[in-house]
Amino acid sequence: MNDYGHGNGGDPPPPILPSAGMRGPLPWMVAVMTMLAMLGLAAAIGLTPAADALSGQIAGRATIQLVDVDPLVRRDHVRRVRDVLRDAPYVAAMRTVPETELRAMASQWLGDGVIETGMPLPALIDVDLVESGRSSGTDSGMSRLRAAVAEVAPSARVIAHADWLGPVAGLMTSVGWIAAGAALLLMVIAAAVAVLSARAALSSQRATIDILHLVGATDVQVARLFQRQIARDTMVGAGIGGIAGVFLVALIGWQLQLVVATLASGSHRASYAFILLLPPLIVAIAVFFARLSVIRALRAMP
Amino acid sequence: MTAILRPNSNEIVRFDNVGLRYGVGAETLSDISFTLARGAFYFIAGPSGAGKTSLLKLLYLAHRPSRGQISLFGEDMVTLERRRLPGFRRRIGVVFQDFRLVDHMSAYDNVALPLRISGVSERDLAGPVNEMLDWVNLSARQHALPSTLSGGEQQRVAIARAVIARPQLLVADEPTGNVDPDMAVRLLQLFEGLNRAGTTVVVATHDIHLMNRVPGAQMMRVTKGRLADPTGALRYPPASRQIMGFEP
Repeated sequence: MNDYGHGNGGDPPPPILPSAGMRGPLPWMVAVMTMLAMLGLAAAIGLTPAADALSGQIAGRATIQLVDVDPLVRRDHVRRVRDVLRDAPYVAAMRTVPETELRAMASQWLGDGVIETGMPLPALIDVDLVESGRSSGTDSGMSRLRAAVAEVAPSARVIAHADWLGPVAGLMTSVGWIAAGAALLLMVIAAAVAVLSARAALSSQRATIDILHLVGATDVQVARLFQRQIARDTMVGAGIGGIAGVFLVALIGWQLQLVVATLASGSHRASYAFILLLPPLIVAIAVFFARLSVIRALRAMP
Repeated sequence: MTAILRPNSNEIVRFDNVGLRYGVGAETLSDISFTLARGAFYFIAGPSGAGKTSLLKLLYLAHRPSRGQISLFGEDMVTLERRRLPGFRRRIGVVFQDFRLVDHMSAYDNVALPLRISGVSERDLAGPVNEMLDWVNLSARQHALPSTLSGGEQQRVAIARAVIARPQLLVADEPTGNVDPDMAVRLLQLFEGLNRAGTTVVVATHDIHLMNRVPGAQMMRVTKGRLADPTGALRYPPASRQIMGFEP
């Protein structure tokens, strides 16, 4: 099919509408938006399951903090707590944090001389609840844990990890949704830019369009010229943006893999293939709306 | 009194009490009624600003009238669906006063444009386009862009583009306005040649010498948006009179 909409033999005729191609702004704007949309979608794909995994991990986890100043009383409370939780049906695992680990932790904040000062360090017991006990409410594992601990060690504090890590997981989920929304918005903007570009071309090529109409061209033939031009420009832009986007997502993914294993876990790695659908989707949306806009404008002409 | 004119098989164009108004201003054309016979040659004369170009725009379907009826090739153009307009426009060749060539296309491609729009293949259009360029004596300039052509050469390209698809009606707006007298005569000879081949030719001009060169042509005079037709010859040409019973 040539520019005139026919599958003619012989050499292809010259294009009726001159195109600025890479010298024009459209390919570059589409490239930037495609790249940003891919980054946004990649963030959404990575953050949402990571937040879910984090929520899952912290939902049934607690640390029992025993802050008695007297080391004998503290050790006694540790023993009592361990005894009462050992056979508790809602406890899946329990671990007393070793004193060496506590000292190392404290020295990160207070310096290596913290032990010499004789400052008492609290005893910590990490508890993982069973899956069925992770629900909220008065009958939940966490409530029963608090009650049991209070009974044997009234001065002990039970810190649910969800209380202080929960907002982080929530924030990650929100950021994931915002990133997905931004990706969608960027696709819409790419389409809007293509429509504006088509309208601008329609205006600048008005004299040629009038000639085409007067020699008998149909609106569909004229619209096809613009559609091809927009398709060419957006395809080039989406291609450039797509390559840059894939490169950046791979780079960021590789860096995050070193920090958060969840972000690049096997099951989620396949989800990243979705971002490859963005460039053709952006081209399709842009061309569709540009054609619609041009046809509407042509029908308003005499 | 408004007369309803019956279509005649010899008619190619019929205007009946046509008015044209741009926007909300006064009428540019008022109460225009005439018929054009198939295969005839017409001049439209009149001073600048009289409405000649507006009348031609109605003829080549660039505008629809504000009122009245226009019939082309036996079809009502006022109520015609927009999607059917291209089919009629392909039967009309237009030569514009300002040429209106596509700037970035060569003389060859400008002339080939109507055929390409109609779906003629590149193989099939090469012969007619070369023949047409030869006819207007521009074979040597076929690859030249309009900006490198003289006014006369551009006008000849515009004429070649207008006639390449063998239109049934050729409309020319001041076709000799930008060329020297010798070239004007040559262009007129081109139009006469087309007319002899059966094309109805309508030329808007205020060059009286040009009009005198075509003895058989009829003249229409437009003044202040109205068609001067004191004898009624344009409204009721001889063929119509017979049909409507004005003459025995």
